[in-house]
Amino acid sequence: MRDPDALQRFRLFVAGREDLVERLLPVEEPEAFVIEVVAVGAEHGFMFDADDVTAALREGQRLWLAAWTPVV
Amino acid sequence: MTHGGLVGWTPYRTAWAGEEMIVDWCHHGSRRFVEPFYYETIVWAFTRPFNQLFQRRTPIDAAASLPAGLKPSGFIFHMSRCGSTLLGQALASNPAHIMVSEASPIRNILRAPLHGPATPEQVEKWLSHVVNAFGQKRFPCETRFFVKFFAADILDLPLIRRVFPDVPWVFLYRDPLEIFASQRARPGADAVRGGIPPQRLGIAPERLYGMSNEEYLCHTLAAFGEAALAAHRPGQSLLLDYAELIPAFWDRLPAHFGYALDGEARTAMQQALGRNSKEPSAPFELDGEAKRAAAAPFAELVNLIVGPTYAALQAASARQACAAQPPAAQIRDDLT
Repeated sequence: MRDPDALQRFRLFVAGREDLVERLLPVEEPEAFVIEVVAVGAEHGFMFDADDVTAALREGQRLWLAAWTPVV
Repeated sequence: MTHGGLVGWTPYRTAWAGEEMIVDWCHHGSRRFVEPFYYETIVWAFTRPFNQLFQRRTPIDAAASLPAGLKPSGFIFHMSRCGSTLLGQALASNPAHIMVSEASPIRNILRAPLHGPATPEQVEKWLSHVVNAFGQKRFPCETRFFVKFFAADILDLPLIRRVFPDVPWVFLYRDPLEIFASQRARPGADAVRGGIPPQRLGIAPERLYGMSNEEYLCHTLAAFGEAALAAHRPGQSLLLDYAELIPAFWDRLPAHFGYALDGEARTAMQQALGRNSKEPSAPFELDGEAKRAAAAPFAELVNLIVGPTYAALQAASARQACAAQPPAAQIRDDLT
């Protein structure tokens, strides 16, 4: 069953797990990344779906672009 | 609130969120900081969906939880457009070096009091935490850690020295006509009016908008040079003219920063020096003559405002106790 907070909890879980970072960081293609994140989450008991991940990716993209201007 | 471990994570932004200073973190995996500027390293990191999803935000005090990283081996300051990027790329060519070039998370800490409620003590603590976060060893071979600051950060040198009193530093400068030509053709953010409080440049606020862009630029360059001169302590600091920069890569700079180049490091640096530092795929070209010609119509203004500072920098350089340089023939051989 889908848990509305599962992705957020999974994000904190991954932050301290270097093995999971090493598994997920190299994935370059967004579609493959979403599938892998859902799979790794399920392996560790975090139940969320591809739509959750896609929405979070969009929010993450907005966050890193906002208020960040390169200074040369 | 728990933030989990921050080991492996590196700041990509520091900013005020309301009245709280925060750090945004990304993960660089097994990739060294090899780009000419840290913002390019961040862009690369965010080509990975991982960082878009798993990036983290913590209060800045969470950075204190990181273990002690490498102590900075050297700081690089500069007057802008005078070879600091080339020096950064030369240092980055050595896998034993962590080279952080013009990292906005560090700059934003120095600027924090301009935009939020930060005491000098807080800024010093935060600077220590953020620099330590960049100095985290990610590879066993890393033994040295260098930070290249933005040009205007030289104005914060007294604060930086309070936090890192023992770190040797270098200030790179150049014929101001050549810097002027480069900045006028392609202005950097620090040369644009309004980026720096005018008092810090020795400009009365009421005069700020009463002068030309060219005059403002000259005051900026003079202020950077004067800040370096005021803090210069021969032995701990090195003032280096662009004209002497490339020979210094081989001995004066490593000696100043406390190490010697081995054969492998020399080879890697020779390759780095053959490239245009800001466009690594293009060869490096000397362009001083063309720059002086471009700035010639402004020579009187530049010499009037920046000339005395440049002369003082040259005089102080001449007084510096310095290690013997290799003969010119040796330098030419090294570069071929």
